[in-house]
Amino acid sequence: MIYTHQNITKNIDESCDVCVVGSGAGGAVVAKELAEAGLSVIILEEGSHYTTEDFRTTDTIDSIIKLYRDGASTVAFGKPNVMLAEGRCVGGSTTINGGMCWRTPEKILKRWQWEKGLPDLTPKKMDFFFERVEEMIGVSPVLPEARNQDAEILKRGAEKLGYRVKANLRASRACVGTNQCVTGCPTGGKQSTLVTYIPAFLKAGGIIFTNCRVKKVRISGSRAHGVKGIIIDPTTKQKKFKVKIRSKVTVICGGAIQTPFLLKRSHLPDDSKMLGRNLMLHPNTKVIGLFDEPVYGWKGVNQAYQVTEFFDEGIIMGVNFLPPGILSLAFPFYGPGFLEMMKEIYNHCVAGAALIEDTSSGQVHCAPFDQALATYRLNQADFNKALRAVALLSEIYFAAGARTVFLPFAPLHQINTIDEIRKIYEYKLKPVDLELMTVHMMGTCQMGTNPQKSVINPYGECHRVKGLYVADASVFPTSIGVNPQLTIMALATRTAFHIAENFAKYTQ
Amino acid sequence: MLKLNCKKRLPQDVQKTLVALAFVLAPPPPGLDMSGIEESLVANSSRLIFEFPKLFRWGLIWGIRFFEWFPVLFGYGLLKFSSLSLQCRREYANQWASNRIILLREFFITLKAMVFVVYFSDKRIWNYIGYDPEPHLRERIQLREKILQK
Repeated sequence: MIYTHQNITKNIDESCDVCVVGSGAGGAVVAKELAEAGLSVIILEEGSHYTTEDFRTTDTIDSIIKLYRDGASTVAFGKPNVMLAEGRCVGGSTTINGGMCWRTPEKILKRWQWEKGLPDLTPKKMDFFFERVEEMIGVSPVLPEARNQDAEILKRGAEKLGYRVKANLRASRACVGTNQCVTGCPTGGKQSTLVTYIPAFLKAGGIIFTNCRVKKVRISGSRAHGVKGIIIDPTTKQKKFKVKIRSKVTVICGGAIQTPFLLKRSHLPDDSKMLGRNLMLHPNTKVIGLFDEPVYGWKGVNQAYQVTEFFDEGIIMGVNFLPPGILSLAFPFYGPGFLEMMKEIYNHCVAGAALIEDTSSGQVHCAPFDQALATYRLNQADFNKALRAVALLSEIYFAAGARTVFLPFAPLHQINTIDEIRKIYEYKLKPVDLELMTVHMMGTCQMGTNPQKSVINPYGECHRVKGLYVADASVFPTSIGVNPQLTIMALATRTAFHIAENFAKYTQ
Repeated sequence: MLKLNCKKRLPQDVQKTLVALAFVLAPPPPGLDMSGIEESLVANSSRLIFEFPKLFRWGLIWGIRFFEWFPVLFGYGLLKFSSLSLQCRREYANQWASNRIILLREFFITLKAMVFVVYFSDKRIWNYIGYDPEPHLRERIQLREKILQK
């Protein structure tokens, strides 16, 4: 059953076994697994509920307003600022992401075992959880009829240079490539939690309250007892009703910005002082290649391939076409001729991005007016990595026959030959010259065995508060270097199994 | 369909600045009829800005006013930004874009991003640049139905 602000008529005061905050990659998975295990589960989701039919629109502004937190205006402040995008709707960020699904790399799991004291997170032990998720969301390569020309160009360029290219694995069933992943899949081909875990959760008897902003986790002593929140009218932003949920177990899955923000507001005892710290972003640089051949990047699937040759260096690359309103942001220039340039390039360009496995970190703070504020400091090593990623993508484009490459640097925004790539290094660029964005926020409630160094234990439960769990990307102890959806979902499944097995202890 | 029935509207002076800035950032080429774009620019900017967090929205609106009111600080006399000649507006915008003060530069980037997102969501611009996603969307929905029927 889904309750929205329209069919709620009074304050809510409910009791359940498990209360889950958020319905994205973490929340929907935990909720579905626990509901199927026979527990009574309530999901509280801040955004609204939409169906696949609602996404059959090309109105970008409307989609941004409905599906993204704060009209996609969120930023991690620093030098440079990094634009963040967070989903705020049923399905969370899985509703607006590209659906890329990679298992946590072995090198990362090893780091977590050795450096962070998480010996149970071996590929072998995680296998069961990955398989369970992969089956549920149909992780598979892109259908041949859904591939588009921009991905083929990336592959052609990379193979010409001898770089390793992998067919991308995506959460999809008969995805035919409308390329509108970022504004909600209009065919249902992308298997977000909205069309997989949420229906299964509802079938198992689960309840969702949408338009519900959770304000506080109810903590007394060393136990969590549920949450308090409010129902908000999404159009007028008026508070309509109060919400009080009494639960034996509470699972917070609001993502790496909202989760620590909520826990900080709830005065979570934290010996490690790491709550809200260790924010990692997988900073993303956009590089655009202009080709003589027609590309029509909007006709076909989002990221059919990834260049993984430089994965060990912490760089992966893919192409990801964007609607004009968002693509126009990739150019650090403007003025007379800009529209004509857009006309010339729009159907002849490849918009690629490099994902950086970052070692930089940031922090989530509580700002006035009930807002989370993120800061992030890009270190020199990651800046150098970003420069290298831009150079490598440029090289791939030129190898594939690009006429011009547009770079994400204000002082150096265009190169026309492969020899000009060296300018990226000669120009003495500074981090503030770089334009970055991200959709992968991680690490702000990191897990670990030592309460002095981590916020939650290896199963996601807070060290100091029993019955309070976290299941989203904020639990990652380090950056993972690949799209995080599958890792979040597998860890959330593991957390759900742990809660189900140990539920009896929370009833005493 | 663009939804222009925004109940909350930005203050008049801010509306004027955004429209003037849009024509500096991406002036329509001769022959491209953009009549009425002002109305959709204002309506969509209003919808977007009223989604922003309170603090950010407040900062943005007063930042836009500062941008509008103080060309005098950059040597353009006492005229406001939206009253300057097109050439002066361009030069003034360039000074913000390349300013040594990072706050001004970053503010201009934010403003540019917001105006571009709204401006480039206009269907006349889409037609002009050759982006026509609706037939593609319909064709793909049918294709998926066929695949699922098999």
